[in-house]
Amino acid sequence: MSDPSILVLSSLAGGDKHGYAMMEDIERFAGVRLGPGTLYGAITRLEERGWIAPMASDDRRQPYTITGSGREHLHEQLGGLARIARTGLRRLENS
Amino acid sequence: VKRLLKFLARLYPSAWRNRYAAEFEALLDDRTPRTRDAFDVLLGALKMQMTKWSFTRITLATCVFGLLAAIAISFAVPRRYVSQGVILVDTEIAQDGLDTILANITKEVLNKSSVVPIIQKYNLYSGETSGMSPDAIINQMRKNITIRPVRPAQSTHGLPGFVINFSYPEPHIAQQVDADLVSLFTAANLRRRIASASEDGPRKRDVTFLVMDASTLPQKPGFPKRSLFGAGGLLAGLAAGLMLAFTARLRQNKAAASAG
Repeated sequence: MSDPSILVLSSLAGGDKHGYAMMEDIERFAGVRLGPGTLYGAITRLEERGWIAPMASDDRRQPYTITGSGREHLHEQLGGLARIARTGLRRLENS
Repeated sequence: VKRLLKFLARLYPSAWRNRYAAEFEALLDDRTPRTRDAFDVLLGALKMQMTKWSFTRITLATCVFGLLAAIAISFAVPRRYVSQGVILVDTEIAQDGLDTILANITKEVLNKSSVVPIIQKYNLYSGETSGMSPDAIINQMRKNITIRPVRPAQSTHGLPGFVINFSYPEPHIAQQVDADLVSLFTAANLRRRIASASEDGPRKRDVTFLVMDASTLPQKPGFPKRSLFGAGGLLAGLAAGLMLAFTARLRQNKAAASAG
């Protein structure tokens, strides 16, 4: 599972973060090292869709937070993935 | 690498830079850069440009890219020169019978015993045959020989004939080999005439080969044809552009629907 948008949303579901903190977090929990272009491509898309929002900050580092619709979307996506994972694992066990 | 990344970040669309440039640079400052990050930022900039560009602009850009790439490739691929000789056939034999005679002569000329001495005489393919078997080299030479018929026309004095082409990276060698092939054809026909004269009488199966055009010294390479390469690149760019533009539009519509 390496969809950058889902990884960013999953990272923000654990708390507000700026870009570098997201990268570190994603590398820790998913073992995926996102490149800067990939990360900001995902951030741009997610912000355009209203699934994440920038927070007020005086720093150059811009923190982001997940929005309500972002949580709904993430829940839906992860639910779908979980169903696939459960089915796949069950079939592997039965084969 | 960090300076390169910051330079590549300038390739993003200006609207994007106005919104994200400061935090993007802060991220680049925080992170230990890797070489592959440069490709990631470049790809990110291209994708972002695509999402901001209009349908026409994307298609035009890919057309220009396809054209330039094809022209660059046409300069990079090895050139091949084609020498051409024309033999006209004077005979009263019907077309079917003539086709059989020409097929037999062609088979004789392209026979291993005829081709190998030419390969050895000009040391053909010496630079490109490392690891190739002798049979593979012979097949390579056969592939570089093209024989095609010529229809009777005013320019051929109403006679049918055939063209013998030989293609090679060096123009002078192409001409000399082609001339040898023309000689092999005329010699093979002479042998056939002598043999058939003793069997059927002198006139019955008489076929005379007339060398109309001696093998030419090619002035321009026959491959690559830059105009064809350019047209191919342009078409490929157009196809890729239309595909990209449609994909970009679909993604934009999807994003708008999600945001709505």
